[in-house]
Amino acid sequence: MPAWLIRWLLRARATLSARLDRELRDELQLHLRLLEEEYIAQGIPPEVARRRAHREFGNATLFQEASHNLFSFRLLEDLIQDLRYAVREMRRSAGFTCIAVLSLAVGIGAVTAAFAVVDAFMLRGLPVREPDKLVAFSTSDSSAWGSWPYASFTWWRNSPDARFEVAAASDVRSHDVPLRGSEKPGEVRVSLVSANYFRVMGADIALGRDLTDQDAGAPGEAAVAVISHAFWKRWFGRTPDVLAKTIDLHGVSYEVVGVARQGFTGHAVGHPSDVWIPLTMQSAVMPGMPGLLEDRWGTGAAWLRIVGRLGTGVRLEQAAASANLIRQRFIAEKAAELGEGPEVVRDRKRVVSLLRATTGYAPERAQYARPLMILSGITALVLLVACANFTNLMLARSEGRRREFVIRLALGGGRWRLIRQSATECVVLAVVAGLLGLLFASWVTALSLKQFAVMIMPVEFALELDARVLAFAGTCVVVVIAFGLWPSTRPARAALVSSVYQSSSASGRGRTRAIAGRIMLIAQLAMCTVLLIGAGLLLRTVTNLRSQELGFDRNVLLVSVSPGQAGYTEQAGAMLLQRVRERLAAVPGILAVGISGPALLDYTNYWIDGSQRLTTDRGVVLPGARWTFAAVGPGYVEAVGMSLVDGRAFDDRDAHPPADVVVINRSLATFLFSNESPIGRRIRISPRGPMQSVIGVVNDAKQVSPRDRGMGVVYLPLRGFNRVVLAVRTAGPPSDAAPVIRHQLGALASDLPIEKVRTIAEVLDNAIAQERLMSAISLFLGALVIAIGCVGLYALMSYDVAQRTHELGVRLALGATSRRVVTMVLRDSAWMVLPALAIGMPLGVAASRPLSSQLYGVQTGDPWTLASVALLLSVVALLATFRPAQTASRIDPIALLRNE
Amino acid sequence: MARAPHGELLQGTLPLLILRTLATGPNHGFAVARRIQQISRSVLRVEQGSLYPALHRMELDGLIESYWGTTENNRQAKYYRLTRRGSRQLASETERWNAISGAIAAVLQEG
Repeated sequence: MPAWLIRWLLRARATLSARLDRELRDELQLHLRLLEEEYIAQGIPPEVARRRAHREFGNATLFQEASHNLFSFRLLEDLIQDLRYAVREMRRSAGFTCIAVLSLAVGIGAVTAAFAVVDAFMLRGLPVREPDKLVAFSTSDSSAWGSWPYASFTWWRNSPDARFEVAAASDVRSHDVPLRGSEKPGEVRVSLVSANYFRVMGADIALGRDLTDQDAGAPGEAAVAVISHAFWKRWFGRTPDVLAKTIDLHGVSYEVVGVARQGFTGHAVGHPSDVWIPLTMQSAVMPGMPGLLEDRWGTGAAWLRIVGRLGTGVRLEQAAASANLIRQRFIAEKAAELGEGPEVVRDRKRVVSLLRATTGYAPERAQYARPLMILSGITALVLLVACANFTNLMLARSEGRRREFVIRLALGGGRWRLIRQSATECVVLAVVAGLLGLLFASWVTALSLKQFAVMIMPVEFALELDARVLAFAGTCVVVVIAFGLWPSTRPARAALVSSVYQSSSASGRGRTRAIAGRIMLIAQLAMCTVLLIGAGLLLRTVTNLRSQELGFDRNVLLVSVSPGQAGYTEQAGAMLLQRVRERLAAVPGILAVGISGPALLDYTNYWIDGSQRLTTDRGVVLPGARWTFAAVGPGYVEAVGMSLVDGRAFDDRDAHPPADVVVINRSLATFLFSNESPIGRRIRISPRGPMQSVIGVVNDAKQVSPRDRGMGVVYLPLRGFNRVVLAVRTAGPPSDAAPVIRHQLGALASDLPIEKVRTIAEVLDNAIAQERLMSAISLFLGALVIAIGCVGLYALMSYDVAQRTHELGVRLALGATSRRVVTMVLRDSAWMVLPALAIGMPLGVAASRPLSSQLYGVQTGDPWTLASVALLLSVVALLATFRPAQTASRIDPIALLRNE
Repeated sequence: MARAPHGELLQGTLPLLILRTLATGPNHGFAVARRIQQISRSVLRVEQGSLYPALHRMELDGLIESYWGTTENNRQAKYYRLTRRGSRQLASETERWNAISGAIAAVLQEG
């Protein structure tokens, strides 16, 4: 064995065992004894012999130390010792440790949670090979993935000169699939994909095989499916013989031929696919929309997302040029075949753009990116507050240990060693806080996602604490250490011998500490203020949105039904709904029933596009952005409680057959006709549509979003009966009426699927779910931050009172009342809260500027919010100072002076 | 470091002396020091401060190995004995020492 290895092993063994010191001591002791005996043998008396032996021997301890250092890894030993010491110190001041660690853990956890969500939602690339090469095809100059007809896909796929490879996929949709052994059907999320989907995406198949071109043969022939790993677990329990098992969808059995690699759930982030079925099975999977594959010239529905993978060495611009070239060629062919109609002209003008698809398809990103970043900013504030708190606590503690360090230095402890020891303590605290923070983060993310899914929309993310998140948490720990290092090593660095002799109340000493501590606390409270202002504004936004005048009653029930999905034709559906209306109106307790097209306050149902123009009979043209339309049936206006201003609402005359009449709202009336009465006037809502007479004007009511203000609405007679909403006004509470309605509907048409039964109030809540969630989260964080600030203030004030006990005692002895002493303490505390507010208020107003797009009914400088925040902070400060003030008032000057 | 009572310094030879002493048989630290002193007729007296670090360093280098045994008075003592590497080292160091001291003697004679 090489020499260095032997040495290393011996040293390692010595470091880890306690035997080393004992053996060294024994060896040296023996030498001493033998020396002694020698002297005795020479005739010297025992006492003298012993002393002489000791003298001759020299400093045994020094020898021992020297040999010890030889034998062990000094550094490692020191580290272990430092760690032990740190843990012991932490246990001794358990209260301090708990507060510091918990507040840090909360800060680190919150920030890490925010990062994990942002990463999963916005930053992380798809779990595929070379995701940077993926591109998405977009229809115009937008940043959203476009929808394409099948023909588009084929023309790009079949062009040999394309500089990319394309695959197509439909959006994920849920289907009910019979679940074996259960009455209720299970939910399966299906996406139709081209045969080369997995190859183009770069996703691996873990089990079985990929889809092949054979599967893309004749339509309807390839009843196969590839399933996701998660689905394999959920549906089949991860059985090894999953291949050749089947899934029954709308009467067709699909054979499972492959399982995708774990982690891949399709190109849509937040909307995972369970099952991928070849495109050619489209008619079977989507029974309501047959023939989408026969669309030769792309004139039919646009229902596919097209994903491409750049060829090797191909840049994005080159691929885009190639795509447009191919498309223009195809349009030329189409024009040759179908003639140069206006659509062809429009097609030619449109440009296809390619977007980077590294992070997948997430339509919610545009909407939620901003709130998410705002929340992340808030969590960063929480961490800063926690760090400031940590610094302060460390300052307070290190001050108290000043004497200890001076003594240790005097006894010969190396200064560097002592600094290292203090630093180790700080690091241990930070690391423990980091670990706890990770736990907190995983809990918080799970909770937030659940809330998001419940309140806003069901999304699913793979939120694991992976390497990136851990690295981020590690960075936070480093930041925390940076904050804590200076105060924790202060006593070791600056300990002066003279401090040992000064009594604890001497002024001048600890000046720096006092000032630094106060500054930290003021900074903390200022950040609290900033956060609270933001949270307060969001809270007011939510209350404003909730409690505002909607234009209709909140207690009206909305029942969504889909006769079209049950197979009713337009005619049959219309008649059915008429009967439903009559039947329900006859039920006691139901006051009015109306029907409308897709529901209120669900902005996804409305199309607001700038290109549609309104024309009046006198030629005033209104560009599309400030108006929308809604289809309603007779009785609707009365049922939901809108108020008529002029004319009349629709009744049965206008319904069968649907007449060319409209009702408009007040904003639109004012805009189009100013002070004249709109009744009898006519407008046209689409360039090729008929002129329609205005028969009534209603007061403004929120149609598209709770934030609508001054939006014009045109109410048209209901024409399509595939999916409608019944508006039911009840005499008693709506919840009582719901089962009755279901029963009646079931009696009339048992096959009619009832999708949702909600009150308008519930719909409103749903529409403001994002604001509610943001408000809830920021309030939660605000509470955390206030708690941390309160604890910090309490710690500082108690410490101060303890330090000043002597001084206060003298004052009391000299005649000050205890009330005066309390006032002094309170004033001290106020001197920290006031500057904090002075700094925090303007900072908070400035910092909430990015929030202004989210706000409703409040401005960023809202005085009520600012006043409430100031009040809240003052109350909390009072609470925190209460105990120390009480302690100060109870100082017994006589006992104190006696102890001096 | 072995130091003569009159201040003669012989640096770095202590390990060699220890090796030679242990070549005659294993012994504990005190005995090794006494033996060196004895044989050199008190010219070379080993101090504790240099003895034990030297012994421990040599043990780490693998030249000697240690074991716990009992003295004649039944005391627990740490005994050292030569390893194979140690005896090899002894041979080569002795040769080197002889060569150097011979050369020095030659220079002193001739001048």
